[in-house]
Amino acid sequence: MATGRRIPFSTYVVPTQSVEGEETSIRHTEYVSTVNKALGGKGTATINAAQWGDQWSSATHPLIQNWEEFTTVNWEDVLIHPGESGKITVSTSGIQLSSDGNDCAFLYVKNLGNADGATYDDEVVVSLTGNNVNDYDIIIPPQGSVCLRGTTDLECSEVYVKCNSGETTQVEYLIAKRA
Amino acid sequence: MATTYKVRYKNHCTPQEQIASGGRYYLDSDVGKKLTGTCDTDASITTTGTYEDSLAITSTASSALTSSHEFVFIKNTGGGSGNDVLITLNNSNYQILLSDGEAFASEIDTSAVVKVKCASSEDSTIEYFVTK
Repeated sequence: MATGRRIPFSTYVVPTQSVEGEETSIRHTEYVSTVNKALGGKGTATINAAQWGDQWSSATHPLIQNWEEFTTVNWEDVLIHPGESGKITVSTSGIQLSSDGNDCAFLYVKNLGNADGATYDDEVVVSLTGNNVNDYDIIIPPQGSVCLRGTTDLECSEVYVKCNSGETTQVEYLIAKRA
Repeated sequence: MATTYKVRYKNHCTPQEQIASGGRYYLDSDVGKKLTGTCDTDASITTTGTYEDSLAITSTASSALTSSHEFVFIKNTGGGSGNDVLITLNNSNYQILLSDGEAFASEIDTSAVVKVKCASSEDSTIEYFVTK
């Protein structure tokens, strides 16, 4: 049993503009003129050492071989199909990432669509306030991700993910309760 | 062809666990890997956006970032106070927390109403970049 858990995280943003040359078919990319630099930040989220269940991470360590390690998921689901471990498929119905009512200390969601060999290339939308159609304010393009620290106003059970109408993709996630 | 705009952004995290009190932290064995997503904004951005490197934030919500944006970057630059900054995406639930030096970046729905504030009696500063 772990005595502590933490998640160092970082964000990096490059705002760009593509400008045409004298020959209009030739373009070059540069920092957008209003910013003229890259932006970023980093920090560390301290999360609870005893998480709310094995599903706090969609991923599973590739070297885990003991079914006793899993108490709240079916070990056969993650070990027999290791290629599928760490992914959940998302379509137009909202999926609650956790039913746990504790405060969410850290959330990470990545859209796995459009990777090499992937079938999906659609956006994922994320709600922090339940499965209400107007609350899916965060958009994650294929191969993009979002990470955030939650306040005491964000419960793990309030986080939902889905795709827009007629779309499907896969995501990986971390959803960790507060220490 | 006119100038076009795009934001490339990356969010990265490394889950870690400590096995003995006071001991070292290692890559979390529940997860087994570092997690990263890198992408370009999907939305068609048509402006250079708005950037400010030091906006003062108090316990009264700032509306500077409110109007219909496609992408938002907010960093708590601290302003020497070390106080946290709170963010809402729906004008009411302040659910995202940024400590000094931390940043939040995401493409957002144009209906999102982004506001930033500090807790009661606290203040800080933020750097932000938004586009539409």
